[in-house]
Amino acid sequence: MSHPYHDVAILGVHNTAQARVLEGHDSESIAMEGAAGALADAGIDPAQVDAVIGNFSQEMVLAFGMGPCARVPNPLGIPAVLQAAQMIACGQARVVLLGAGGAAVYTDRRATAPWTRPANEMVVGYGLFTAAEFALMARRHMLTYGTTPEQMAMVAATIRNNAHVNPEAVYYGRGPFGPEDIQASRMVADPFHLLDCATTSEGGCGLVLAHADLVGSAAPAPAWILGGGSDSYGPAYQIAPVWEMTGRTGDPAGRVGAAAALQSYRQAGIGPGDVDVAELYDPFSFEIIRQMEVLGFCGEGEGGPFVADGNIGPDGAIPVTTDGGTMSFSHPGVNAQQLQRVIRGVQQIRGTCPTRQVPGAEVVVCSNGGSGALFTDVILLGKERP
Amino acid sequence: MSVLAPQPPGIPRPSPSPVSRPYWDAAREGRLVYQKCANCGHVPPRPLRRCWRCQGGELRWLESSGRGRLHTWTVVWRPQHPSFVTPYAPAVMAVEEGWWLVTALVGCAAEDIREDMPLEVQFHPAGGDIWLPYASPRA
Repeated sequence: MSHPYHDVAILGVHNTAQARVLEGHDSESIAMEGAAGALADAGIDPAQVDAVIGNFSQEMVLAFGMGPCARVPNPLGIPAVLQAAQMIACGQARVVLLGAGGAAVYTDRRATAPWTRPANEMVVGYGLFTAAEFALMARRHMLTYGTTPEQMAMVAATIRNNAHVNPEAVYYGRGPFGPEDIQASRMVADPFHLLDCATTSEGGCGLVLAHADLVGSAAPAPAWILGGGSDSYGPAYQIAPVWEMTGRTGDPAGRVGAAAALQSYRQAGIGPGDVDVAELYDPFSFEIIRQMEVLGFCGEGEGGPFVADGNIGPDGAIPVTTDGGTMSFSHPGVNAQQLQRVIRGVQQIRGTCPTRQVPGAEVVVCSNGGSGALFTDVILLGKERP
Repeated sequence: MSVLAPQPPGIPRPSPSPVSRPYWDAAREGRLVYQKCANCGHVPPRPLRRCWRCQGGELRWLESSGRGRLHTWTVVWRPQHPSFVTPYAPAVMAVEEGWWLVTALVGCAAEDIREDMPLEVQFHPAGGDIWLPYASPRA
């Protein structure tokens, strides 16, 4: 199957240092470092860049002297990668730069991070925040399918152990963790214990996408865009996160991402059985159980037993979030952590992950978002151009 | 164990919008209201100007019985803002008229929360001129 995305490859990726606090940085400066690193990794000169996407796109145009250059202040993760691919596929650009980062944003530690706290009038008085919103969805899955906190703890232990061995992770060397360690941590929002939840940190990252014509033998191995899609049921954290809420298709909001996954697989001409690695967005342990279902790795309601059987471990059928994810690798806010799922997917395709490299990885699925936020974005990357 | 209670004034408060103003005006009078489309009968997931199903402009404010059942919940021990007293229990109530209300549970212990338990709303002051609907168990 042919699709315009197949003319596009990710040529450059970069993560800056990630840490709980990066002294001397703010979001703009660390995003700039991420972008510069991605250009260097791709071997692309700034003068070759036709478009920049991200919160600081205009600042980057200036800092790298790229003008005249298109700028798209789209702050989203995978949707921004797909937008870059669309610009290249339709001839609007031949090289697109993405940069993102967060630092000096979370300063009042008495409260949860600012980006986790909704301000909408219908929810603000009830003390909802991301953990509580995702817990409301997780509870429905528990009631409907019998999913257990122990199964969720196995997810958290698996992903945190991926960071335990990753020297680039904020929580490198903090494990290893067993499910019992997850469940022994203090309760945050039932059923989520502290170690079921994403951390908060600071860091930046960048990506460079280019047209197939620019993919040369000297540059790093390309990761080809096979397909992608994006599902939303409305603004995150503003309405009741109800699993059963439906929109135009009758598919429930709890299955958000299923349509995007189907679209991605169709564009790629493959199915879930062809995927070697899943670099998934892991804001809360339950979300991996749900994403296993909507991405088609197991049946509806089977996610709990599926993860408990060891399928998502480093040697499992579908290794998940191999860098340690938002739980333990990094979670800088301002959407760097969304792009970081794609960056790890590229590193898997290249075969250059210093830890938890999946041997012979040829197809990777990456995701952003989750049920509690009412959106899920999907992208498929491949070693071979379709 | 302690009984879940309404939050004291001082928590972050809602800022009503032009479209949601009737909801908060009614709450101050101890009434729970919701929008329903006079054309197709659907209830929007939050106050809207036009129906999210038929795009008709006849969303009317109706008075709810304030009764329903517990659809989903969580018990929060780490407050999102220091002004919240823990534990508190955000919840979604399936209201009798066929809509979902985000609220928080009061009047029962966290250990006694059960799926599908019958609930009814009660209103408590949140500071300023805002009263919040909470849900408590009913017989």
